[in-house]
Amino acid sequence: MNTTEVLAARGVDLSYGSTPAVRDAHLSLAPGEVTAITGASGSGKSSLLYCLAGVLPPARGEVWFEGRPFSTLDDEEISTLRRERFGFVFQYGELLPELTVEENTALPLRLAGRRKAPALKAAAEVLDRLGIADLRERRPSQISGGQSQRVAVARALVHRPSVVFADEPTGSLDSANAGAVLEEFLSLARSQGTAVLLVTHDAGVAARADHHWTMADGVLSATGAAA
Amino acid sequence: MREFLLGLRLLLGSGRGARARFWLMTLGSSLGVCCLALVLTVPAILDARDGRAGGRDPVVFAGKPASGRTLVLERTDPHGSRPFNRVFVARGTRDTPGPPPGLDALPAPHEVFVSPALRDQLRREPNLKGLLPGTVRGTIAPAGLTDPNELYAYVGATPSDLIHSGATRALKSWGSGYAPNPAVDPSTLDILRFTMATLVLLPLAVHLSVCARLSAASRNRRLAALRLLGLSAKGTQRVNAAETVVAALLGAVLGIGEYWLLNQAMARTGLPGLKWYPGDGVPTAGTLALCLLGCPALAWFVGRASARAAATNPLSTRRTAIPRTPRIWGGLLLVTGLGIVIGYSLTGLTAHPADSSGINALLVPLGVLLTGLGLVLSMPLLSYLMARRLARSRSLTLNLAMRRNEVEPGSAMRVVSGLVLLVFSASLAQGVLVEESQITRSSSPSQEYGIPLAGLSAHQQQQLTAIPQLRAHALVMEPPFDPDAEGSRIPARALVATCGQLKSLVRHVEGCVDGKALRLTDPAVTPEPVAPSTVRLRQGTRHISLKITVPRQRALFTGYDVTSVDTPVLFPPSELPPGAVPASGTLILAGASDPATVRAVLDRIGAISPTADVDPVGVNVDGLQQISVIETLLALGMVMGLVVGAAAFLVSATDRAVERRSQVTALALIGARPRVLRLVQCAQVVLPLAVGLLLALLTGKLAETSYLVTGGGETFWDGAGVPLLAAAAGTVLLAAILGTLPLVGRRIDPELIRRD
Repeated sequence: MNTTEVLAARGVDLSYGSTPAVRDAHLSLAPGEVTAITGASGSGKSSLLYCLAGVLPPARGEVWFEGRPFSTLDDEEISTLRRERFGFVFQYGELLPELTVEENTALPLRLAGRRKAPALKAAAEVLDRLGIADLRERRPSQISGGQSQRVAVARALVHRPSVVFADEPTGSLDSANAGAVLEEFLSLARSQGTAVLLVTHDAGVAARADHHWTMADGVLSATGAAA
Repeated sequence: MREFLLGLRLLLGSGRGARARFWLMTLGSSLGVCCLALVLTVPAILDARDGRAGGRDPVVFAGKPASGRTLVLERTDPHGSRPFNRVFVARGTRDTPGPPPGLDALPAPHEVFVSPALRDQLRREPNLKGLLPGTVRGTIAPAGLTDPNELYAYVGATPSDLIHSGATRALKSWGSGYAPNPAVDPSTLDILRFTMATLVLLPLAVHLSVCARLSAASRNRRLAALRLLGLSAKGTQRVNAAETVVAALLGAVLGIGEYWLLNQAMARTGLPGLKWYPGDGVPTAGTLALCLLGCPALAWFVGRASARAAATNPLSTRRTAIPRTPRIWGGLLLVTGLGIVIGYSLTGLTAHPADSSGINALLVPLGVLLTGLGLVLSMPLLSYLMARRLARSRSLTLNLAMRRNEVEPGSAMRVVSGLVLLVFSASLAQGVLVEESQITRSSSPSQEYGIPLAGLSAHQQQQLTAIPQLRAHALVMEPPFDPDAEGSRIPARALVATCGQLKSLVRHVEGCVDGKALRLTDPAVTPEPVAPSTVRLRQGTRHISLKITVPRQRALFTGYDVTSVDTPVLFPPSELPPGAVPASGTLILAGASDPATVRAVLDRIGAISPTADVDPVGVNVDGLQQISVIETLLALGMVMGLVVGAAAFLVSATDRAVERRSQVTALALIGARPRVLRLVQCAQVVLPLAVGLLLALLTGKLAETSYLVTGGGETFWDGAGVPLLAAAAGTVLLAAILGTLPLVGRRIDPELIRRD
């Protein structure tokens, strides 16, 4: 594994029963860089993302994080990785509707065992950097879709993870909002030195990444450097 | 109709999840309907028993039996808590009535016909044969028995066997049209119905409304979409109601089928204290109509009501989790109900406790009902207030769990109210049992048996006093009572006993001197004025008189709670003329009061004198039978309530977990440990449940006390029932904890949060 790589996949195969989803995938992510994977629906890009995040175990091949193969880690250690070193942005945000924006943002820190007051303080700082500090006390039902997705970005980055996995992070937004959210997201991630794996079917979104890969029928192929 | 069909089309065309929900609703409804059918059929089962009891009740001629007529003598003894009925019949020579129901002919002398249960009992307890002089010739058919468990016998006798008993009557026919001892007293039946309704019907209503509101969030989104597409508000509600009505109707049909199987099985196995024939448990047309029409009708209203929000405000349905403060009126019901029951309970602390007459007869049930309803309807408010307070906690688990309850306090109510109501109702059930127990059971450690001396030979008297399980015996001499002759003073009755015998009959004796007649006085009882009397004695074949004076010298005694030692004079046996025995009076026997000893003594008495009219002092055998039936019915109600409550809990907790799958998956993906997720899931349900159960215990006990105070018994505060109830509540809580833990699995399925 290259020393500049934070996460890497080597010859990963993944299948659902007899249906192959990912075939012999090779991929690496570097700190502060954004890697995008595009492809049609059902091409296997989300499956690869969750495989790299340690949620779906590969049938063959290996995923490495900071030089350690996932196969040597038990479930608890992978959960700890996801909690402390990874961040996630989902297509629909998946904020907890009963928590306030501030509590939603602080959630990864709280899950990692941070005390409430410092966690909320760190959440407030990230929300401030994303320009939505005034929404802190509101609940997800009281804010717009674009604002919800910004909160999801804040939640993914609040604990300064090494890697953020973003599955169609702007898929539920209009183009204007999508552009703004993506800009803020990638800018904050780069400034923190966080590697971002971005899965999308939108070529415009992929164009903002440092590296661009395409997936078709489970096969990953390099498209080249984007931005 | 169009909307109704659209609802059915959506139901049939929807995915696997929706079909699973439909079947869950159907099965949930069927369980509820099965319980409903059972509750509604219980009065019919009791009526059938009482109808057969009335049908065999001997109708007798007034006055002393005329010569040549058929004679009948009924005897009822306690066999444990069950009555053991014997009907002695001596066939006459004129106006001979037909056989009683269940027999083909009147029994001939020394022929015995027994119920199947008695036949089995005779095999186990051969000593019982002493009570049935003669040979067992056959069994009584079901038409002549109240239930398959009844101990009943027709004993053929000769007129000379029966004529000496004062209770012997000339038999006119069988069947008086009403049961001499109903299975459950009508006044108790009303209380029982009320308690059963609280035990079963209230949790049932909660359960059915839970079933009708399954998957509320996703269903509301679908309905909101239909409304936005142009369906009218009423039409949208009808679309939703279509599914709930069809599920309830199918559930009702299934539930009736389940009840039919249950009736067949339970009629064969029976319940402790309550057995019935399968035909008794066939649901009436009214019950069937209520189950088959009532449940779908309820589902129609619940289905329409639950779709109201999506129909009237479809846009807001897309945005959930707007915190709403629960309405306070449920709390007002609780406060009102508690005000009433506390008021009545407090009168129990005064010298003049309230009774059940007048307005009290209405207010106490109203208070209990308002308390129960208020308890359920206050749960959202209590859950909300508790959630608001605890959500500020530093604990992440409490924070996550309580935020959810703060947003959706109503769902907590749906999950826990069935079980909370169960514990509340259990207190009422305990109250009914305490009340019944006070009426029927003596708490005395001593059990006395009174046997009229008339009809007992000297040899039989000797045999009776030698029964090994007895501790003491004595005679009570009864003078003839003529109120006109003695004015207001009662002629003195006398207890013929030595000081040793007296000591064995009562708790405490002071000042007793052997060989001397004494004035017997219980310091706790105000003595009545008594006059000297003359009693008749039998000395061989001749009768003599004995003057009883009221002595000045006193012997003080303290008797047991229920005793026949209440005579004003203690007369030493040595003062009786040699060989003389009282011609009129009662033989008093005393032994331990445990059921086994009582049973053994009664068997021996029966063997020595089969037709003796034994009075087991303080034991109300019909009451014991009733309490046995009531205990069984209440236990049945508790079991049904528990089944319904647990089903409502599991169904709604599972539904809640399924609805939250995407959020739980998101939480798991960002690293939440399964333990944390399980604790959150558990705390969401268990904390409101714990508060609810605690309140149910407190309010239930207060409701029970108000019932006991106005019931007129001696026990107002039933502390003995608290540990049992607390243990039951603890078990419910533990089961709830264990039930919620598997709702969060270890496996993460990212597909659950993908909606494209």
